[in-house]
Amino acid sequence: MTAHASLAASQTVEASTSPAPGNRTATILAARLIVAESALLGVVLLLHLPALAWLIAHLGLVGAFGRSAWHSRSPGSDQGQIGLVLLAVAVAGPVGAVLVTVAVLRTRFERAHPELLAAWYERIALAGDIDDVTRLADTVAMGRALQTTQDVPRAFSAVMSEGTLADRQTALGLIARQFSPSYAPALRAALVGGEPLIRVQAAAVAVKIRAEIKTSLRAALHEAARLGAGQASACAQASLALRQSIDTGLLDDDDKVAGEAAVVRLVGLASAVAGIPADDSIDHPLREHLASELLRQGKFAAFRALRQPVTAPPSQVGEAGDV
Amino acid sequence: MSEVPGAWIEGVSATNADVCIMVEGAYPYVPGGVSSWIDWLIRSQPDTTFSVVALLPRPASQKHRYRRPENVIGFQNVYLQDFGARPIKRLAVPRETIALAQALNQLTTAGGMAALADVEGRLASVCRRMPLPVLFNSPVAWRLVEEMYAIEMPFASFLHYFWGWRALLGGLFATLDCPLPPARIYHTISTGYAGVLAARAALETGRPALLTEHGIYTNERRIELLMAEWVADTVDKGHALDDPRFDLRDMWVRAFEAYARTCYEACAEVVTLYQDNQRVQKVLGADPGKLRVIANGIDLARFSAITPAPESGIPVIALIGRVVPIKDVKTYIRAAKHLAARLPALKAYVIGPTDEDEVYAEECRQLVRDQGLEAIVEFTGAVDIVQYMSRIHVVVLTSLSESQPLVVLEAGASGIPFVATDVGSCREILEGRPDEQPPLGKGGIVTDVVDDKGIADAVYSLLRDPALRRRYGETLRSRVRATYTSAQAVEAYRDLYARHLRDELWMVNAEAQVRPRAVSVAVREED
Repeated sequence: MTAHASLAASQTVEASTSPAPGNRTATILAARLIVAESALLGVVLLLHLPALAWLIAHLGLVGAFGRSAWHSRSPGSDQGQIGLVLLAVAVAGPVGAVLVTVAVLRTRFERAHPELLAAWYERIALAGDIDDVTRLADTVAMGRALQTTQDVPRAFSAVMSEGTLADRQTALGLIARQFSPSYAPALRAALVGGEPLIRVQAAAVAVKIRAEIKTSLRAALHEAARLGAGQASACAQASLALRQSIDTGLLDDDDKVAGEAAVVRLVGLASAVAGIPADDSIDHPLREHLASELLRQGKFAAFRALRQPVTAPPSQVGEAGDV
Repeated sequence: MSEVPGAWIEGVSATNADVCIMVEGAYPYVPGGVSSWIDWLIRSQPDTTFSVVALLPRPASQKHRYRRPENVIGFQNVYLQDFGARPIKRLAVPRETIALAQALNQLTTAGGMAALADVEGRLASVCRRMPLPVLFNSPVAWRLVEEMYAIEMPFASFLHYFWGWRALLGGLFATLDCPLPPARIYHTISTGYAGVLAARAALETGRPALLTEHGIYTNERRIELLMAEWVADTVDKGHALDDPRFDLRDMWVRAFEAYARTCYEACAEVVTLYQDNQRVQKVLGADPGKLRVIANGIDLARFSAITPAPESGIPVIALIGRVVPIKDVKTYIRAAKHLAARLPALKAYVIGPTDEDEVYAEECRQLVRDQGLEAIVEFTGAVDIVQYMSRIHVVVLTSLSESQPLVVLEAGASGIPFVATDVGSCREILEGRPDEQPPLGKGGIVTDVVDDKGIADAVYSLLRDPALRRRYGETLRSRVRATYTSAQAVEAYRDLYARHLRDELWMVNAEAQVRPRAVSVAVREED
């Protein structure tokens, strides 16, 4: 669709560089009115007609031209310029006709700003990116923003066990498009549920997610290999991300083994300094994650040190007493 | 058609075919699955003449993967994403445009034959001034989209709606605008655009339309659309499932549901391959009175000479099918890894073509290397499976989605037990229908999808117990012989066509009642 949109946008930009039909019609109308008004003025002067007769004939002339322009208008053309021409001639007669002709001709030959038009057409053709501010403004202005007055969304796991067929299908779509490791239980529930339609959709989602998790795990392992001592917070973050990927149950065994090894290493690096000092370099959720990993690994001394922050030097924590 | 045997030449036939097959995205361009079934159907009815309408996204240099059967006398492509002609700017917008927008809205939201007839009638009126492809790029189309936007999604992003509308209505207009090949019966192989085309044929010609649905098209599209990244979410619903605001994704899903309703209503009979599909068809609006099952069958003779694999020697398993994501070959490889830990001498074949999705096939080969299974897993490519059957102890199917996989029947005819995921009619074939008389028992084991450990356990239970394996293999063979033979399927379709050809002759004599738009109907009237 994007390619289609780009093509449409480029065609539209190209078309926009030629004068609009309304502009051409207004120019012709103004030129005709100059001729007609001049002729009328000549007749008035020649025949010494009274001013009232001139005024009536002038207004009749403008009305006749206006009527003709209205009947011959083409759909989509700009009627505004035609209206301006008629108004100017009605008010100022032949002088107005001359002035408005000059004005219309100026706009007709005035150089357009193709770069501005191109940007605009790019936008309406959905061919380019809209910046976040514009998108947010659009969303709020059009009533398409998140409705905060609604109830709290139901947990996907609950939807999978109690939701309607349509709800479960929608939830699986959301899981597929915005996967978070915390959705894994809901996905597993859908895979073994009683409804074949849901199982098939869940299987398609699982295959998609599995590929994505594998890719992100490989990237996380690569990143983890670059972390070292003194980067406690980053190590803790990375180990948490790896743990979440492993816990989805969607990894191959060899990836799982590699992930577990990396978690052990990262937790070792993070917990070596995590107990000192008790500042906010590692926040509470990360500390809880580290604590559970240390328990899992049987590193009870490091676990105690983490729970009871002391100002001991890093090298003394996380080594003695480990199982 | 061309005189060259087997060649496909495009063009609307002047001769009435007995049956016009309407198929979307498959025959004769994509091998396997539905395409193989259509090829079988046409060749199995040599006394019936066919024409084929292939609905495709856009013109492409696709190769025909099947030779044209002798009894195919007409062939035509319809391109769904290539609709429209040179734009016309100076064009008066007819008064009927607003009514046409309302009718299109009705067809794409509720569906049904009345809505289709309304759209056809109003299009006929508007298209007196310009052909439909021209209309699609004219101010009339702009007025239509404005009107439909105001009806359907006035709160949504107009830009996104506009492009969504172009894509959705382009396919519909292509389907409504293409010439109809002359035929006595119109037989669509899915709902969707092919289903709309069959409904249109029934409406315009008064001749019977039939539907054979393998998988449930609407559900497949729904899954695809709900997961698709290319459909923009213009309304921020967060994770709320009950936000009533309609979005583009809903628009697409709703349109395909409406097309399905239209097709179900138009078709005189709605055939599917197994009973569980009927449950979904009813939910989607099919009349239960029209539903029937005609199971696929296989040629028993081809597999009758196969002897069982020797009980001693290396255990051999096989996945038989195309190496494509929907077959989930990776789960099979992972299951082989679990099995190899218990049966180091295991041989695991992947029997099927690898050229349809070469990227996926390479990922599978890489997974084999990653798992250290090079000596165990072997990709044979496309081969004659009969040559392999006598070596295989258990056949495995790990598919994410199937309708009625022939490979289960082929393994059954060879007396080989089966392990299959719980998709399509696998359970029905392996465990028997609820109304099977007499109940034959189990012919294999059904597992969850994407469950490599469960599949490995099921296969292992059969590999370690020769008596169980023999019993399951014989049960499956008995069931296939009783219910799933090619001869039974051929007879069922011969009977189906004969019945409707008789009805069609009666109807032609009585003159068709409804012909709202005869402009592009190429049906010969003399018969």
